[in-house]
Amino acid sequence: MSNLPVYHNDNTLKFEYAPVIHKQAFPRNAVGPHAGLTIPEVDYTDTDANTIYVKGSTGSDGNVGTAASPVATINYGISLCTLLKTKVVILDSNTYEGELVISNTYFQGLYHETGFTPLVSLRTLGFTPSDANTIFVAKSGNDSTGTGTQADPVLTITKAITLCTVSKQGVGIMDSETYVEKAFAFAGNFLMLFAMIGCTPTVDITKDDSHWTMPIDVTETIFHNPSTDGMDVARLRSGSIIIVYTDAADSYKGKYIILDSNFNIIVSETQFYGSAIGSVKVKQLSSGNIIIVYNTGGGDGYKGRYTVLNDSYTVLVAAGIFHANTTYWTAVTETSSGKIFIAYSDAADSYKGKYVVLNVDYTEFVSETIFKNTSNVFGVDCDGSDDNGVVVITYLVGTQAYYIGLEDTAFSVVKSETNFAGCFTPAFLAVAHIPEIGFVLSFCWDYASGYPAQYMVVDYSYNTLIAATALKSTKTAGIGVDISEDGKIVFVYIDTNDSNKGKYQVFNPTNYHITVSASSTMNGISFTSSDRNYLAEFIKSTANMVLKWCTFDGIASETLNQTCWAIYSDSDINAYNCILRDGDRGFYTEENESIIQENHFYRNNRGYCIHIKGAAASLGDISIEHNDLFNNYAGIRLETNNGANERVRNNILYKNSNGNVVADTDITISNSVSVGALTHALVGAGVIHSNPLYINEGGLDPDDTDLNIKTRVAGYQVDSPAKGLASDLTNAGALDVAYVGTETSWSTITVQKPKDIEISLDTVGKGKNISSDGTVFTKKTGQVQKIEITWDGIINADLESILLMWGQNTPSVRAYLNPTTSPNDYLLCQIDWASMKISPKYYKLSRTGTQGVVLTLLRAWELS
Amino acid sequence: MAELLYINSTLIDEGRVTKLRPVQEKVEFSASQLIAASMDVELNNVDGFFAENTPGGFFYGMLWFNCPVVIYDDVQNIYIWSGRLKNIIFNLESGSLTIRTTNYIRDLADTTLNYSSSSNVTPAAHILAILQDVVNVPDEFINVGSFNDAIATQTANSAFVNMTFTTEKNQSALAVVEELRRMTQCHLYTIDNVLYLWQWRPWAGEIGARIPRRLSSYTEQYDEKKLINSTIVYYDNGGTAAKQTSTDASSIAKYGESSFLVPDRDVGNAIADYSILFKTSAGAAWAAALAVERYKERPKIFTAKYGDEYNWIACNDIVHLSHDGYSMEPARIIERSYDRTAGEVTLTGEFVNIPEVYSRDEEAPGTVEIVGVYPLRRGLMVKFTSVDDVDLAGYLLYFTASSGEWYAEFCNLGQSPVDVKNPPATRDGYVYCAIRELHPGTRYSVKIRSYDTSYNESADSNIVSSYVCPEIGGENECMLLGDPYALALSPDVANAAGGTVPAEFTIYTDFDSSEFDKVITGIYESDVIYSATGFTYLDVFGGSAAAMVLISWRSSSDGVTFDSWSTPEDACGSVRVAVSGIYLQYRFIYYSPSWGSSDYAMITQLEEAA
Repeated sequence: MSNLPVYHNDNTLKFEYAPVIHKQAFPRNAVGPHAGLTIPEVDYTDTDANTIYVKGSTGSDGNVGTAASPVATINYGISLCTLLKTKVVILDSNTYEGELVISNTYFQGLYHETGFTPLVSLRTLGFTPSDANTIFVAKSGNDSTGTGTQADPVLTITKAITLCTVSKQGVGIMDSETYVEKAFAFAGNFLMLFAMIGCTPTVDITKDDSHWTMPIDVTETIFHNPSTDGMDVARLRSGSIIIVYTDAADSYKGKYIILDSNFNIIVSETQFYGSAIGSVKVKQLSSGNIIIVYNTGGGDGYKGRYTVLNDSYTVLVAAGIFHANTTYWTAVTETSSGKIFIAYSDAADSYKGKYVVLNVDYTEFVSETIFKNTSNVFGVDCDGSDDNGVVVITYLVGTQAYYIGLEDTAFSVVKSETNFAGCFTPAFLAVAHIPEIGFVLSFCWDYASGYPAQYMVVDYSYNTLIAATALKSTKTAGIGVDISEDGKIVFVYIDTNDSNKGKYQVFNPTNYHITVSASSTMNGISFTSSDRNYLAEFIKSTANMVLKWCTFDGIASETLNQTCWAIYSDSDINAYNCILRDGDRGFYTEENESIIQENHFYRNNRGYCIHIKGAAASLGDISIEHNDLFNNYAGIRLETNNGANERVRNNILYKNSNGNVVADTDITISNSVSVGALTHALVGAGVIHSNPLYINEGGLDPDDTDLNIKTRVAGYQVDSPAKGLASDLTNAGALDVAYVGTETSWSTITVQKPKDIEISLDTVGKGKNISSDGTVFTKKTGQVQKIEITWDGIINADLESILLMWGQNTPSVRAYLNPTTSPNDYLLCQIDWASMKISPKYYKLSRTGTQGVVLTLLRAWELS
Repeated sequence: MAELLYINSTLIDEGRVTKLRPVQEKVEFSASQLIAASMDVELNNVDGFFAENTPGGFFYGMLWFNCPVVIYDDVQNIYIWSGRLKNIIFNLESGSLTIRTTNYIRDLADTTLNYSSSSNVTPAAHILAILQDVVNVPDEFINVGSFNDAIATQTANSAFVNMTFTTEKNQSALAVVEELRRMTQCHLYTIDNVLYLWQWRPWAGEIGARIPRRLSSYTEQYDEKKLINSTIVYYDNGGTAAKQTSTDASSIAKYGESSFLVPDRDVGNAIADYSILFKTSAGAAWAAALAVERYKERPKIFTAKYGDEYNWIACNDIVHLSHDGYSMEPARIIERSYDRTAGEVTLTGEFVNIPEVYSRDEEAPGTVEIVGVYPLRRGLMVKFTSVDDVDLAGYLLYFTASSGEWYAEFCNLGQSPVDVKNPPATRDGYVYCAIRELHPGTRYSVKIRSYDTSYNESADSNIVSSYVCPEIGGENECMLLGDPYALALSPDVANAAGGTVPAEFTIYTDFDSSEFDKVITGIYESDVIYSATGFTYLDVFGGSAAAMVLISWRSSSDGVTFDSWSTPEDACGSVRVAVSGIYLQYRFIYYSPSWGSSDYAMITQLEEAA
């Protein structure tokens, strides 16, 4: 029974209580723009006996680190720490750059001497910016008079780029302000954008209208196989699409189909008018009703009619009349005030361009009004109201296309007739409003001549964004266009080269921001964009890029169902210490080499964080190490990869909804925390499928996201599985910390030792069952030792000491039962809090002491 | 101070609160079981402080109805109550004021829903919208990230629903939320009064908290009410209601048929009659299959009490039971009740792999053997055998100064046990870990368990103990590199400036000089080490060349007065040196005119008297 306490006739008992942990996670590195570490002023009496001194201005790393002989760098100072010299103190106001190497376990803290304000930046530039190599930008600068020197900076990045030369290929930002800049290009002599050390600027990129593209989203698809005539398309608020058309194979009857948002047919061909019609157009009103306008055939006198369906496609108005005379081209839209605007070509009046406006109950609000008082106004279409409250009417006169704009309440002309430049001799015309962009105009050349349909995109001032482009290579007719709920442009048309079948194509208008066409570097910049409509690529790169300590914040297309890459490249992407958060998707490259290291990817909701299409020729050519990929749509995609040569290790992959890693050829991931699906990714050594226990996942407030890991040494109740998991013995994930601080401290009291210390043992989890035959079964799961210390009499000073300990809420106590005889032997116990009697038997004794004080301690006990 | 009362963001003086009903934190896993509670707080109003009709009174001129009432624990930094003020009850006779508050869940139950949507919105997004826009739960009480996760899953499965609730339908918001939750197998719960939503998904092997011990209470049983093996889920098929179904024949054969309907009654084919209806067949099919997958087996539930050290475990956490015959058996916490006074947390959990669907690694890694524990200044160096299991994750190093208490001591690496991954190798083929910031002169016992990536733990290693150096000092290292217990001491040309040369020696720095035959080229003097019973032997392991490294020692009975140094002995090979004394210091002396990599020495064992 060697572990039972032995008592000596010491006069006192000593207790240590209320332990305080002083360790904290001290950063070795940083991700994202980093202003610098805040280090505390020295708060102890620093001497050569307990401190290593650093002085970058005059010290040398060969020195011994005394105040008289300081070292030059913090890392060297840390390496010199010993059992007795545990802290490092900086003696000047220099700037210290670089990640900290804290492998010396004696190191307990970094301070600056009183009177100095050193900057400790974990971000480095790798060169010294100067007027000889950099154009400088600051909010205090001036684009007109500034020369771009540090003393005379310019105001904008755009201006700085124009000042770059062969010897000045970097643009350095000197403050932490926000710069709203039109998309710029890394090319020519502009090859680097960086923040000066200590600065954390934000660069907010706006759209460049020369960066529009129009990739096909849905290739040509037949919606009506028999011969088809006039048609139109409209989005429905459910996200579906309605196509109305004239069925030429069925006596030109009016019909429609409904497609869902994925262009699957959900309502097959349905007839809305049982006789011949022409020039059909459709629009859903804000009431949910769908109005279809058209002209009828000779049997009905070629009237202008409309049919109204509710949003369950039940017919509400079978065949209302908006123009009782002969009508030719028709078009319909809704104004911002909910009126129904119908434009048409009045065949009974020399085909003049006219319109009527109906109330929501289809009564007339504005009677027939001329908008183009000439003959032969054809190809009428309209859409609106646009973002400026203007209804735009497009039409043809002869072979020329025009538009006018009407203010949408009193319908006065606010944009006079204008000829569409670049719209060549059209025969059919259709227009649709692209929210926040402008209009798409589609047109077919002369039907008989057999030319294909074209489209062009213009802004609200009718400046061309996308020049006239062929929709397809063969001839078409009867075109209609509208914008789907998710911003795609849907064209419907008659394929006159294919038996007049009704077909559609869907295009996806997109824009990109920054371009990189020469090897470039970005360092310390927080990128964002407040102009993200139709944004598909924030950076479009055709050259190698190096990104260091940058953030891509909220890089997400604002167009529904459109996704945006932060970087889309066909060259190396080497990203270090960056943050990509709250965006759509991350880095894409088609390249056999890229290094993605020490980055954070979180809350990117629309695609892979890292997508590399390429095969590493040598081990590590593609390397994804020490990253956190957390709470994203999907993690890592390795397409057409080699398998053996891609290195994926030391990462935290957690809560990525559609898988952590998807490779084409088997790779092995190692030394990582991974919770989620792995496809062609084998689990190697040191992979733990567990919650990484981030300090704050940001669920409550995204701004509070903290991807440091919880550890017990830093005061949390649990250790993250990522702690020390990496192959380089650091933590898995991007953030590397050292647990630094002084040892746990205890408060101490010494009191008189009573004669009565009673020790007892008790069992835990004991049980007893006695069977009917008398067989006895007993059990226990453990045992506890109880130490009951009773002072028959105790002086008030000692009692107050005991109460000081007893009054704490921390139960751990080191009990030194023989502090004189065995000053280093203690029992670690817990206070068994019970009521404590603190009055004497006779009140007159209360001035000096009391009696019958009992303190009970408990501890686990086991046989040694 | 612990519990702070805020009314309308104003902190009420602690002395004003005369009666605060104890709040038991209890969070459950289903909207219908969430606390829908009210709470009364009695306040001292003898002096009319809270008067409503007197200028200057607390409630004077205040639009108090529905203003926020929060009770915040500033010790644990959690909200233990958050709600809205519904009534103020003045008792003029007693001079007290009772404020009656209800929490946000109560508001959910009390709010008649007027809400419609026909867009592509998921049930999870509808729940969020109802909480935010209808009940106006403040953002700080909703974990939106958890909702977004459910929304993403449902969106990926096209699980969108149309909603049509008018005031005339007289449906409470809580009932609608419950139906949205039920039809998609989501779980709404609170942690510290913050609302979370979790989209159920099968356990996929992720590791949670290992719980190796419990308090006095433990029960387990099967939930008889939860069984689904046949589902019918309706959706809008282009204007008429159609259904998707899913069944599990095996479950039906085993338990009989147990149906799950969405909606939970026969509504018919008319779309207009559905208040909630899936918009797509894909969404309905997903919901139908998910319900069967979720409850085709009756869940097995446990309830147990645990100590305060597990109070951080929250609802929906995965835990692994390693007590009562279980070894890392995974369960998801579905109910949690924390008795702050007793320091007990009662956890109810649902076993997520019973019956087993996910093959688990239950094999513990190999057992560690501690080879030696060596005294350092304010620390210990522990040398042990490594474990070669391919899925080894690391080692848990337990240490204590008082046998039996393995979970309370602190060192520089944290509280016992400390997690040691990738320990470095010693010179003699073991691995080691140094722990520091221990109490000088105190004897610590050490044991180690290995654990694997599935967090299976090995049996305990042997328990070995040693005294930490008593801080008498004496360690001196000159021209040497390394340490005497793990990496061995080797010559270090670059460290010529380090250490102090004892007076009786001369150190030569020109190691390759041919002028000297036996020159001293390095010296190591250990700290004074201590054993209450006295030391008996030093086991030394040195390089291969004879007489290149010598060892000497001296002893003391009081740590102050030492005997003379012993005659140096050759440390080459494995050498056992007989020593004595309760205080001991040893010395390695390196002789070499031209040394090589074999010129090293280390202590492999310090043997104490019994």
